[in-house]
Amino acid sequence: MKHPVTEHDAALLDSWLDGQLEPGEARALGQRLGVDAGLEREEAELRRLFQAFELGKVEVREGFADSVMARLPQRAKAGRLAVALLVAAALAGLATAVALLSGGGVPTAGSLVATLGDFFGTLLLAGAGLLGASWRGVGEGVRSFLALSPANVAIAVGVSAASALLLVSLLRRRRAVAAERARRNGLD
Amino acid sequence: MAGMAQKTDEELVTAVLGGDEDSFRDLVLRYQSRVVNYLQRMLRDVEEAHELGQEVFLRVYRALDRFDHSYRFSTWLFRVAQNAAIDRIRKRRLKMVSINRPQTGDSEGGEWEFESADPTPYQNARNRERAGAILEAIQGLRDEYRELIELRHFAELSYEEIAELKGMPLGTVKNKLFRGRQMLKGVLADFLTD
Repeated sequence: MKHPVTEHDAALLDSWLDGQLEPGEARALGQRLGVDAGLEREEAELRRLFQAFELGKVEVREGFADSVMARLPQRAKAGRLAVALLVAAALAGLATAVALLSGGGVPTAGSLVATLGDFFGTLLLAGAGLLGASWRGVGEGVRSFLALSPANVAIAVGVSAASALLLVSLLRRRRAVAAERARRNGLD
Repeated sequence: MAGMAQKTDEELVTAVLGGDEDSFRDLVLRYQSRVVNYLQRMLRDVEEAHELGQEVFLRVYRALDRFDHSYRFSTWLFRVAQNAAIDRIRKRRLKMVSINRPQTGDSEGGEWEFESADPTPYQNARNRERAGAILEAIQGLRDEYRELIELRHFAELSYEEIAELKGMPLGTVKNKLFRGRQMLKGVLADFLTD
């Protein structure tokens, strides 16, 4: 007659076959297996189950890793290096062109750097002037708008408050999305 | 020699990020069998498992600079694999594939072929029968047990890795695996007794 093993013994056998039992527990179980036919039968069935898992496995095709490696994209670092080189080449070309057009003859390395400095300095000053003028224009416009009617002040306050709320909610949403992404460890 | 010791996953990831592409090959070689077998279990299609397996490694490579070192690489890799398989299953939801489709043996490598030390034709047939039965039985388990069985026996993750991946206490993982295997033993009683 077949005697069923207790759930505790079944759990012990299960852990043992899955390599989860401490050495001392495993030794004690091994000793009991030799004298308990029911336990031995249970062990044999469970062992076959573990073996059956192996039967369900497939061999990975030869060349799998080679195929993956052949499809790897260039890392972004290489891309960034290419962009940096392109920018450097464009700057050098620009400086040479400016130096030649300004009639300074064949430029030297020093004169190229000086020309580039002049060029970007002028660009910066012009940009700053434009920006200042733009802000002054915006300031003038707002002042005229507010001076027209007291209701315009209320409208301006309302628009400012709504913009601030929108900004805060966008920041919160962005933080929630970042947290979710972090939870999934960086992958969508 | 310490220098000759096998590098950990995390060391290999650091090396890849430092520009050593060959270290990624080492990661692929280390995990290819487990990833393909896990995907094969989920998709029930060997061809598709190989194809998606490559895609999983490519996704991981592209996202490697976002890898959070507070997680294990293996857990992360199998999360990517799991998500990829779930996406694939959703896409082909209407195209049901039966696990009992005829084994023609004409697919490259043989879908349920396995290595055996000089088996007799009877053993081969018996093993094939067992393999088909175990896969079908796993498929019949409730998701909470099936997923853990697949992660343990096909992805070959440790209990700790499964706990991290599924966000479960270690004791729950252990208990569910035990229960799942007991259910399988019940379903497969005819195959497990000689």
